[in-house]
Formats: sequence, C-alpha cells, structure tokens
Amino acid sequence: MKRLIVVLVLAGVVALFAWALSREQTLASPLVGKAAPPFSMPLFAADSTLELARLRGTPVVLNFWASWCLSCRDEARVLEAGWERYGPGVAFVGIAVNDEERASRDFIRRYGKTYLLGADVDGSAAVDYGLYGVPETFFIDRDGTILARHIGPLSTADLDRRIAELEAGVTSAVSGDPSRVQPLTIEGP
Amino acid sequence: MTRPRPASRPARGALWAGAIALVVVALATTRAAGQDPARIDPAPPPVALTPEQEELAAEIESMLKCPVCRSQSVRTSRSFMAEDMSRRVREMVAEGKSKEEIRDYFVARYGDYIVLAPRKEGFAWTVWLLPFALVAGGAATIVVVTRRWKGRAPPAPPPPVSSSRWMNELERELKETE
Repeated sequence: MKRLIVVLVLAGVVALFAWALSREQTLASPLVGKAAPPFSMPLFAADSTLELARLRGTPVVLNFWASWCLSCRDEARVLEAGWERYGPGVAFVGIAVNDEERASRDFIRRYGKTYLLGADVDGSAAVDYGLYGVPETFFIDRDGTILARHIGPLSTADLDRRIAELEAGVTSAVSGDPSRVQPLTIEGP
Repeated sequence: MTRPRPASRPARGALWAGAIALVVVALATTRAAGQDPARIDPAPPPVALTPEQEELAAEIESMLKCPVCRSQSVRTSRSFMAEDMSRRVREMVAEGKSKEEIRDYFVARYGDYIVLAPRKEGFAWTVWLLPFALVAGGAATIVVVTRRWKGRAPPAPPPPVSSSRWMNELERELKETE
C-alpha cells in the first residue's frame, strides 16, 4: 500500500512537469477590456504627430511592426488591403518599434502602406501596451477601450473577424500565434 | 543679334557664391520651419537621476523580468525591450513614483508574470511558503525514519559457524602439499 502511494505521488509529480512543459505558451494580456494607453508619435508621411485621443469616436486597428520582422511582411499587404476596404470608418495605425527610420521608410514604400504610420521613438508605446514582440495588433473601440489583442501576423480572415467584433463591440480573448511573434530581444546599440 | 557676353571671372564667382548662399538659406529655413518630411525626432536623452533615485531605479529594474528573455531581469538584459522598460522606470522614478506604483504600472500591462518575485499576499503566499513547507516535511520524514530505525531490535548475530570442517580440510591439503 505504501509503495502504491509513493508511486502515485511520483507519477503525479512527473505528470505535472509534463503538463507544464507541453502546454501551449500564451501571453498574458491584462489590457483587454481596459482603456487603451494614450500615445503621441511622429508620423512618417507628414511633419505632424498623431495622438490616439484624436481618433476617439472611430474604431482603431493599432498594429506594432518593424522592418526587420519577417512576420510583418506577411501581414503588411493584409493591413493595407484592410485599410482600403474599411477605412476611414475604421482607423488603421501602424507603430514602428525599435526600428531605424530609413529602414521603416523603405518598408513602407516597398509594401505600399498608406495608412497612419509613425515611430515609437522612445519605446514608450511598446511598454505602455505591454508588448513582447512584433507583430502585435490591438483592436480599440470607439470609446477607446481595447477589445482584443492579436499576437503574430494577421490574415485577412483574422482581420475581417476582428473588425466585425470591433464594430459589434465584442470583447474577446487574446488570439494569434505567439510562435510567430519576433521578440524584441535584439541587443540595443 | 548680339550674343550674351560670358560673365567675367569675378562675376562668375559671385554667381556661385550667391547660389550656394541661397541653397544654405533654403535648407536652414526648411529645417527651422520643421518642413523636412524625412525627419523623425531622435530618441530622448537618458533620464538623469540623483544617487538615491538611481538606487531605487536599480532596485526596481532588478525586480522586473525582461519579458522577452529567459530568466533575466530588466537590469541585466540588454534587449531592446529591457532598455525601453528601463527608460520608463527611470522616468517614473524621476516623477517621484513609488516602487509599488511602478510595479503596479508594469503588472497592469504584462500581468503578475512581469515581477520576478511574487507579492506576499493571497495565493501567492504558497510560492513563498511551499519551499519551507517541503524542507520542514523532508526534515520531519528523516527524523521519523531515523527513529524507527533506531527503535528496531538489533539484528541477531549470525549463528556460529563450525569451522572444524574447514580446518580439517585445510590441514589435509597442507599435508598433501608437504
């Protein structure tokens, strides 16, 4: 009997470790359902700054990206097509993080991006939004509340579904593919 | 029809000087007016802190986990993300925010996961107490098992082995070899 208990306890410990190692890695997102942190950033296209508060009253697709991020290339055209389809009723905003200005501009030109694109110059927006890597996209409703967070590149189907939820005011959990997020681990200068 | 006379050497020099001056003035006024569309403001300079504030910032940075690293604090990591977080910590310290306020700010964005050491409250107490409980349990087990071993009757001595048979055998073999 004693041996059986010992074996059962050991089996339980092994099972616990196996579960911890095998479970899907998810990224916490306490910001969903909360007010979107305000930010102000210089825009690439014009000598002006964009403040999130100016977009109050319009649903916002807020995308964090970088020119060095491979997954961002996959979603660049998806976002531009989304902007052409849903804008300006839905505002599309792209924030380049940890990127060089010239590289960002080349990326914008190469992928024909025309929506509101600026740079997170001091990294404050990345920290304010609890970023792990790029690409990550936040869906903000008319009242400035974050309704959803998508991790990894967006597909057209993802974008359509999220915008439908945004317009319906549906709050949803974090979605996406964390394995396709490129962490901001590159060493600084 | 008269052909225009080529400018004399001094006049040509004056033209060049004028053109260069015009370009310089145009560039200067464009920059001053902020009309250069290629300009994105450079990153702000590092936040200057007093020695006491430096100490507090270092303590908070050591408390926060770098979210994109493996088991590294914001203080020890050199990743972009850690540098951005460090800058935010320093800004908040300079604003006079307390350690708890700064921790709450990061927890509100990343969750409890961002703090290397969990808070001493609620369910998080188990993380603090479990190791001590396990050590105490292990020590108690060792004491109980040792006492049981001590309490047992000593093992009976092995029965005396009659060696006469082996002695006889040995003597016989020795005689044979002689």
